[in-house]
Amino acid sequence: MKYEIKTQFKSWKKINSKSILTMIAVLLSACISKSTYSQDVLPETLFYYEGNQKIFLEVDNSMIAEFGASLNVGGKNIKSSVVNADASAQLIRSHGQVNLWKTNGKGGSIGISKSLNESDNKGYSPVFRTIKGATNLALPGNIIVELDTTMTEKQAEVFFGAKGLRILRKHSLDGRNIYEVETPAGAASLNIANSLHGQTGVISSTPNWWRDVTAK
Amino acid sequence: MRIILIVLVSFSFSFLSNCKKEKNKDSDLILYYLIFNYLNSNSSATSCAITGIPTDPLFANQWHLLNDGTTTGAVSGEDIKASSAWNAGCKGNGVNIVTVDDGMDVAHEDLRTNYDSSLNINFAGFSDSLFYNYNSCSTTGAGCHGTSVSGIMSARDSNDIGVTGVAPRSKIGARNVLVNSTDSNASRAMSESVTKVWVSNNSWGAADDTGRLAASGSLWQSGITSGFSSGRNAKGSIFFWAAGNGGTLLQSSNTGGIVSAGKAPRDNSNHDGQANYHRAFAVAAVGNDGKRATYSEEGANLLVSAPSQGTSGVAITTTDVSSTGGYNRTGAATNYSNMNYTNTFNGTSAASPVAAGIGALILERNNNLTSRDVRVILARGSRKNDASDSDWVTNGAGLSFNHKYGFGTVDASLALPLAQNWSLLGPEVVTNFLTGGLTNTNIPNNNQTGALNTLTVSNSGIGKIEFVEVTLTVATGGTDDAGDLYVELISPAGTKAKLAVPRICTVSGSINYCNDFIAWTFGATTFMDESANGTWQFRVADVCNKTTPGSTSTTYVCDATSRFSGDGSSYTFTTSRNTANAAHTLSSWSVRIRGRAN
Repeated sequence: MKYEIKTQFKSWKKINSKSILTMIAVLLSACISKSTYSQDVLPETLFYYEGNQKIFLEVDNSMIAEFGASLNVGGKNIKSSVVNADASAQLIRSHGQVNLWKTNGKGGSIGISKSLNESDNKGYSPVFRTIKGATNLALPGNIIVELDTTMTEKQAEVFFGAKGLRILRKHSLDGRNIYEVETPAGAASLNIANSLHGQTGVISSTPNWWRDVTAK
Repeated sequence: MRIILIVLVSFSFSFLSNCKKEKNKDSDLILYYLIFNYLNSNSSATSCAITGIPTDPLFANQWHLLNDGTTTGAVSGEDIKASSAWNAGCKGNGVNIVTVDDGMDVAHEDLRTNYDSSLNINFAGFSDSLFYNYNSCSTTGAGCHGTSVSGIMSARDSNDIGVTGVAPRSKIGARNVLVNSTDSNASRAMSESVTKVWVSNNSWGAADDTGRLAASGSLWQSGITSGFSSGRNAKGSIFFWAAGNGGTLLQSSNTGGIVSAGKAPRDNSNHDGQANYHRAFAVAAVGNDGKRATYSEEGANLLVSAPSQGTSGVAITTTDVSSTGGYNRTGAATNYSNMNYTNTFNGTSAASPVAAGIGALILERNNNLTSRDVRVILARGSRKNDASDSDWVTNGAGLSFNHKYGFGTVDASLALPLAQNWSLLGPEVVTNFLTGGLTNTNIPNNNQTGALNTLTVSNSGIGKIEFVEVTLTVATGGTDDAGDLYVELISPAGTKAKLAVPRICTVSGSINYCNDFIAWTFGATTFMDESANGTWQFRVADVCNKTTPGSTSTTYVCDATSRFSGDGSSYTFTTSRNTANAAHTLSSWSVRIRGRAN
């Protein structure tokens, strides 16, 4: 009986230290993720990866995407922080919870989205396109990271936690190790995704793009 | 399992026969025969057991189900032969369908009976009572799309109200990805909780009328691949995809003078990285005359066509968001006084769910079919519509294919009998991406021959092709235009898939560059059932005569004699862009072939 208790206590200690470390990493990630990664869009960082394919981007500094918009948007008299930032901003269209705005405000969509992401609860992003591409892309937040299948979910938590990140969900796709990782809306998602590319254990790291698609 | 049952029954029968005091061999044999046939049938015991032509009040207006030729411009018989399925008892009973779209009016009077909330994913985060954009519908009609799509497939039949779906006894749920179309949500819509998903309709995608390539995200690709193989208890969910509505040719009458002569293509379904993906069944649109709707995009990736609004203007009757929402907001004389229904639903948005409904009927007919089986059944079991169109070709396996129509209009009278007696396909065999030869890499300007190269495939193990992917990279100069290029793949059997045709790209209605082919992957169903082994030929040609740097008044001619006949082989257009002519360079091409041994 005494032996059993002692053994169990040792096991509890062993498990608990690992859990504590994980917990600390996760807690820290909640505190530091917002401020650690840059919301700047630099010309030399205008690309992302699909797997190993490097895809170059251009940014449309006159368009800003607003996430978490009301579904009841009727197109007029919208109370939006975008309008507060740029009184001349024009709503181009609404897609469900996403509004696309035209802006000539100071700093363009890069500056405005960066500023709003620091002060507002909704998410804001400049609009991107691939070179000569047609589809508007924006960054609502989160990145998609595929890790080596040898990494357990616990190890993945530690891996991301060490970078100030936390897992939002696992995409269970045919035994692959794909995680959706929480990141802020805007350029920070692009920068974080790119920062993970090529790291040990990382098969791919891509922003969770919002794509301007349409009903046919 | 069936084999075990057969053995048990056989043994039991033999045992009982010997035990009986009186033997009646004839009736014993008949009973044995009936039981044996039941156990060997491919259908489930409860499938295809509900017969009857619908009695719904608006059924007579649903020409896509039964076309009697009375609507404007209609040709009698140009429909999907739904009555053939219904008379055989197949109405989608036991089949689960999801509408991946902007939501669905789950309380609609003609949808609620078939509605199954367990099929839903609500990406809006709201309760089901706000499952569709009701207010947006009231104002603009936007946000009501999914309700109309759902009705085409699953509106309840013979309930004395409204319309009937193609599969009117199927269960329907909704996944409102258009509310927040992120890569994560798009992937989840394809792959999450797919054990129950038999059919997924997707009438959405990249914006039309640009001419430009729109890639799909790798996470979405992984999601649909997972659903295609793992869904429906590992038999695979089947994904129908709208081919696209950017197929209207640009002419002088509709381009503000950009095109001065001839007809220029803009969109092609193979420019859409979702519609051309090997796990999606791309559906084009034909009108009530059985001919291509002018907006319907062509493509070597098309699988089938299905009815929608065509040249005549007669559109599809289906459910509409309840009351004053949706497309029918006033009950005007041109529409139905009952605003829960509309007669204006159109586009490949409408065509795709018509085909998806047929997919549901096929699976009810034979629920042992895998997703790959359904694709081949649709290819072999569709109707060659618009038979006089000169673009029909017969591929090396004897199947008729047309870049406007795929393998033809979906037809329940052809597909369901095939499904019933179908021998399941063998395991899928997939090659690696096989690197194509680069003997000729220079793509001269204004030269129909272009760069022609070959790839010899041997020992592939593929006696019957199901889908071919081609990945292409062409180096195009900064002031030259990938829209000048014509790209074709020719199989060992001599079948030609037109992967890209010369086209005009526009941004906000103004002519602009097309984006380059950089590791762009095309899809082709053209070679269905052909053998993969042999020598393949691949051509990339610049067929536009931009011989000198242009000015605002310079005109150019793109001569696409290889494109297709019937609509004219060349077009002349002007551009305000200065384009310095330069040859393109073929950097790389590769082919991946999917199929089976035989």
